[in-house]
Amino acid sequence: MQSENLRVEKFEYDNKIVRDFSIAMVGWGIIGFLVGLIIAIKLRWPDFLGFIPIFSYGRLRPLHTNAVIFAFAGNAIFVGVYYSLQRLCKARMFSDALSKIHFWGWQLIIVSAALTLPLGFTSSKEYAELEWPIDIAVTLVWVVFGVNMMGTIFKRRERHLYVAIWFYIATFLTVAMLHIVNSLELPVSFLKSYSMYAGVQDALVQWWYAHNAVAFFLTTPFLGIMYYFVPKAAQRPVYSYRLSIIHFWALIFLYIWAGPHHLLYTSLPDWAQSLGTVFSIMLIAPSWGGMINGLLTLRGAWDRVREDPVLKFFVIAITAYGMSTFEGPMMSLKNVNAITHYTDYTIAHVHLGALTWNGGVAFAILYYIFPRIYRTELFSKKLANAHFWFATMGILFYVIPLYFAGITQSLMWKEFTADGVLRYPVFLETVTQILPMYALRVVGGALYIVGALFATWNLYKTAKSGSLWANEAVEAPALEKITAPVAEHWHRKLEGRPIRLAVFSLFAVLVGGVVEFIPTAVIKSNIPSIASVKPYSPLEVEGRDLYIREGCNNCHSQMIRPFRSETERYGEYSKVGEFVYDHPFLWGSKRTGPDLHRQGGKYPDSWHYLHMREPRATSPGSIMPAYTWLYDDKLDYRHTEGKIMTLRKLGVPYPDGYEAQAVNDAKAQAAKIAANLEQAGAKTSPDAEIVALIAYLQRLGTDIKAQPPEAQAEKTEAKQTARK
Amino acid sequence: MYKNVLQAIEGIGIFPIISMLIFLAVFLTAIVWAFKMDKAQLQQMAELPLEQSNKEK
Repeated sequence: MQSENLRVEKFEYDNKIVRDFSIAMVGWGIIGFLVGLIIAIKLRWPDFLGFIPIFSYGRLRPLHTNAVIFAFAGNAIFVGVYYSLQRLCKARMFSDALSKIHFWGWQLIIVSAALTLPLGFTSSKEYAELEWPIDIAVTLVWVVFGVNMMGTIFKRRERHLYVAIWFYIATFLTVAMLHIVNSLELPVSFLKSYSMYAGVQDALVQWWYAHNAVAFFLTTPFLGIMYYFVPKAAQRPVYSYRLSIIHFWALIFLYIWAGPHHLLYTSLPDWAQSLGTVFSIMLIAPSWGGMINGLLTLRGAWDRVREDPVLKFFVIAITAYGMSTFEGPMMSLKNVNAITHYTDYTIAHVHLGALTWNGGVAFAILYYIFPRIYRTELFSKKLANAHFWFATMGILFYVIPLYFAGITQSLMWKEFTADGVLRYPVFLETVTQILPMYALRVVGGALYIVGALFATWNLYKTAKSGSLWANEAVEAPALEKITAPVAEHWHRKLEGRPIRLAVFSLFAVLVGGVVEFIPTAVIKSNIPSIASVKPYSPLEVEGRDLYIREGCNNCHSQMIRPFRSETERYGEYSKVGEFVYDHPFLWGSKRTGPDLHRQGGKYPDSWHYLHMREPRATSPGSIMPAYTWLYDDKLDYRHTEGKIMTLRKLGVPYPDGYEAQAVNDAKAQAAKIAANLEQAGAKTSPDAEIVALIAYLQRLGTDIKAQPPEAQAEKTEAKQTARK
Repeated sequence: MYKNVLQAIEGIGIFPIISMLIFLAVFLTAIVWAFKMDKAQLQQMAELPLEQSNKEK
């Protein structure tokens, strides 16, 4: 009996899958960084790679964010999870086949993103731009990952689940939930769909998703990785395991509530905004608990931080995590947000997190893993140290100028003269002021990439100097046999635990989302309707889809906040009822160019015609790219009917059968605009794409000006009564 | 200020209160649980990553 209890099992860790994900991480990372560098150059020198549709800023920016988040950080997560999970469970991954499907499936998704995004197939929702067939693929591959992970946990040879595994489980469940809820959309065609939600609800769901993508894709898995690899590299246990338990529960519970802090001063109901702020402030506690726990694990090992590149990267990563998670809550205070929102400050904030925390952890674990799975020494410590310094300098050159740029521009937007008028009424003045900062950002980004290239070379040479230990032979006592007499009981408990943990975690993350979303979705008074707001005409729908295709929302907001500095500059502030037919919402999150919500009727059609062909002809010094192809390409009416029908299904009140006359209506409206343009000396085909885009832009924000007849009658009556 | 903001919507005041209570419950449970845990067990859990199931470099 006793000997059976101690039966030692021989098995092998799968190191090859770890190696494969590592290669993917580095390869996609470099590509993602390079795309970032290209768009950084474009922001300073807009003609760089200009006039090529697939390389235009609006299409490359989503490619950059998706590549860095899902390809670079995503593959880094899988490197960390596949390496540490096997060792913490003392078991090989559940299924080699699932590991392979997961690996190739994920890379295929990345390739399809890299193809579709530059071609303009996008849902426009930030960090969720991929169209519906790819969304489905993401769901399937994510489930494969989850099954593989849970399967490994169930066949583990270690009874206890280390805290890192908790973070992995929470990551899997929450990302699945976020992705599915935010991607609910109704397809129009193979690569075009409309969001199920409209306006403010779409915005709320989107930022609940995006905020928690940061939480559960860029934070929790990396914290799990930190809890495994920092003790490993420092060769001492985590500072406080108690703290890590509190860290876990408080963090996953609080994070989910804070999404609305991305929508402060927008048309989102105030109570939801306040909830977002309150929970953001509370988030400092668990975040800093985690940072302190990570850093203090190095107590007594600080001398080794000077020597070991793994620890070096971890220290700077964890420090940046602490800085970012302090900065974030500060930025969600309404008075601070009033200044930082829509500016480059946010861009600096996310890059501090992404480059230092995610990038730092990602490269730290590769420097740890490679010598071990190749059974050799790191090729060059010197080169790794050079990488460290290039990365650090790159981050500083990136982040500091953009903090300056953000604050400078925001203060210029808000400055009034003594006479009470805007000191900088021309938006462009506030852009040209910060261009030198944009140039410095290019330097910072380039330095970071050079560092990453050093890492690539170093890891490649390390691999070359050893041989891959594809199947690492290990032995550990079998778990089930230890408690043979009460096998049932222990077995149940053992398997029950990860499930119980998963259920608790899911509950913790569900509560916040439900409390915020349900009132907004079901309480009518949260979205006061405006009688004069009407659905878009078919041509405007097509124009709106071009706006989405070209990614205009990456640089232009459609959400005027209720500040005097904004109503003076742009016009009446945005009302929630104005967006009820917006599938998806296009509020934007950054003003590289001015807000467009009251653009309708502001300039003649011919101004738009000139501006988008040669931005610098109408606005000297502008950094907007030219959209020359909109003038040659003919609008595709093939899906107009389908679009009207799809939108009606989603609740936009087009009359039954209207789709039959939609194309004719669109053509009539286009002919009118073309005639307008011709009169102004700009001869164009009514079928050119630019015409549809102009139709949409001229409609923006005009509905509330057109009061319904009864309301106008009431108004005149009221005026007359007042006069009497 | 918090109250004024919430009064804009009837009956909505209960939501933040509920959420605060849930939050406190979760947070306190986590703290109580963490502090009630056996020290030896905590130590054992913390040592998990350091256990050498294989000769690592």
